[in-house]
Amino acid sequence: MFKQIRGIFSTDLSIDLGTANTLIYVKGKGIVLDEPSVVAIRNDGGQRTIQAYGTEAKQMLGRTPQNITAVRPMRDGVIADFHVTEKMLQHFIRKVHATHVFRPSPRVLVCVPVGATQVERRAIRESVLGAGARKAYLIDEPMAAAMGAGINVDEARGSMVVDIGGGTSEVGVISLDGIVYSASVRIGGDKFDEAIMAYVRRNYGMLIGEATAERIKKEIGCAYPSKELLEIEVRGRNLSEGVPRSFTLNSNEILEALQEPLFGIVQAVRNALEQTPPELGADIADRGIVLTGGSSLLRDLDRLLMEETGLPVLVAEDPLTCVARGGGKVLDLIDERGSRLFALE
Amino acid sequence: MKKDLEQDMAQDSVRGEVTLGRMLREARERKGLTPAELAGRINLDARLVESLERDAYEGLPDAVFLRGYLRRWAPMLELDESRLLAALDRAEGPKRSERASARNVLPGTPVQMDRPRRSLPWGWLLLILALPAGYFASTYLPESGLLERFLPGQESITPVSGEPRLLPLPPPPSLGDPPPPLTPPLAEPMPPVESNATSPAQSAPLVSSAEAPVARLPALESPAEPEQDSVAPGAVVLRTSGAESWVEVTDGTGKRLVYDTLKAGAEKRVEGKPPYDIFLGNASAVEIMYEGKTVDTRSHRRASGTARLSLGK
Repeated sequence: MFKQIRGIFSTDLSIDLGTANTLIYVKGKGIVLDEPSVVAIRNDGGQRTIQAYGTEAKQMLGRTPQNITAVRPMRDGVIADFHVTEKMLQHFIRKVHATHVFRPSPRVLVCVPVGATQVERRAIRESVLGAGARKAYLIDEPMAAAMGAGINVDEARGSMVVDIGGGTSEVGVISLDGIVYSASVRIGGDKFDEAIMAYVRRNYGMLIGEATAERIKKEIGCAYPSKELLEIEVRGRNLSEGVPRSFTLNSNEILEALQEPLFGIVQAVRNALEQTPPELGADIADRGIVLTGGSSLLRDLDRLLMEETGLPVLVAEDPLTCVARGGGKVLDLIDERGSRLFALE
Repeated sequence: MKKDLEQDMAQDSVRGEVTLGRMLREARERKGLTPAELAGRINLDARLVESLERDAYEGLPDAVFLRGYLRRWAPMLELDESRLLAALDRAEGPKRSERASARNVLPGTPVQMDRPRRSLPWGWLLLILALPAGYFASTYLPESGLLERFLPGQESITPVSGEPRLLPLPPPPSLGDPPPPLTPPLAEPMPPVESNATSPAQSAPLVSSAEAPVARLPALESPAEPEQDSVAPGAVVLRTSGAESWVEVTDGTGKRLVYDTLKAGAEKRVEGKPPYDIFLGNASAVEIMYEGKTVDTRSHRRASGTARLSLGK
């Protein structure tokens, strides 16, 4: 009852609760929050308090003293730490409603990976409700991504969306407001970072942190050989000497390092094409595969998929926010067309 | 070469003539590519390039796809991506709105069976307005008797446990009134109102009509006239304690003085011509005072908890 009254003073939100970043889209305002899904927890003699959220906490990753731990409550696209995720969501939802006098109680739509189990979905739903939402909807990420990319999902034509996020990559074939085929592999930006860290340790005998690996990936990472050779100078700890040293990496090395996770994504797309009904497959071959998600910004990833599948592949505009924006479109349509569409739960 | 092309197109755009198709075709020809080669670079069909160059957008994919193709072609053709996309927007603008309106009238569009829930805030507003109104109604209406006046049939429901004789709706007024010709205009429209003696709205017309039946007047006054404190001879005082009870009192002339449910803790004084015939729905909750003395109802009680007795014989 009180939630409903508070709901009058709240705005509906669409949340892309991602492994790497949490994005919040507000009806009529667009993306209002884009922060890393990181929480810094201070532990003072058994008493845990939250020190920082989002960007501030991310800067602490790997740089914390003993009594503070910077954690990422989401792993592989699902909740790894239920309690911390709830607190983080609560903080973000309040932050979005900062100007309101009343405690907000919005309707919240959360995009979940198609591979999430019922238990994981329930955990996400409970977290959102625990964070003060008056109603929680869950939608599969490929559907939200397709809508956010601007594909007309209500047509009787097949469209394939590949959403490559921080923790998972989702492949979905969509037609007539529904998901025809979907699959999720737990490969994403995080796996790219891990692969780079492992490569550097193996070939250079150097240890680098997650943040450095991410910087390398963003600056010189690529998925397909190109004529242009990029270089970056990084610092890490030399394993044999035990002291920090600086060294230079080039884009071909990173391409080599990323082979394994990239192969996983290519394989997922191939499997999807194999499983897609032929009529829809023809539509996809006609128009192409759309890439969304932050990791689709990896240089030449579309080129790699294009060469591997022989189909047109294109990156959506503003791929990072596609899922959250798509969720926002669904929220608008819920009022119009009811909540049973779009594979909502 | 690129500069020439850009200048060319800049001039065209000043004249407002440059289209996306022309931009593409000129750039492609300068690069010495066939439509099939350009399309093949991103695994597309040559027909798509041809229709784009003709500015024929019928049957082409959505804008999201076209924009994706152009972004890939722009570096190959050494064209400015933003100019290409802007040209596409100009061309797509009218087409997209046409398509949207076409979709709205499509027979296959799902028809929403549920009622839209957009009006929720208005519902709340109404509720907020209704709350004080409801409070007013529950606080003042029962006291003033207005509620019973509007819902005359309700009162016969409460008391009847075990007394089927009372079940029928209140009898027509002419049955109980010995002098029917005296009250012709008033008795007809308000048949069951006898118990609502305290309603000011109702008592006003009764009194003003002056010729109202004498037997009715005593029943009208009860709580409204506190000066009659001392118990007049022949008056009956009914007091309920703990629970409510149905009470019916008829005087010697056959006139019904009380026909009502007394709330717990209520007191009612009636005066009429003895002997009184009294019926109590919940006898254990009612105390009767007659001529200053308490009347013992225990000997009159029945198994159902009701009691019927006569006073003043």
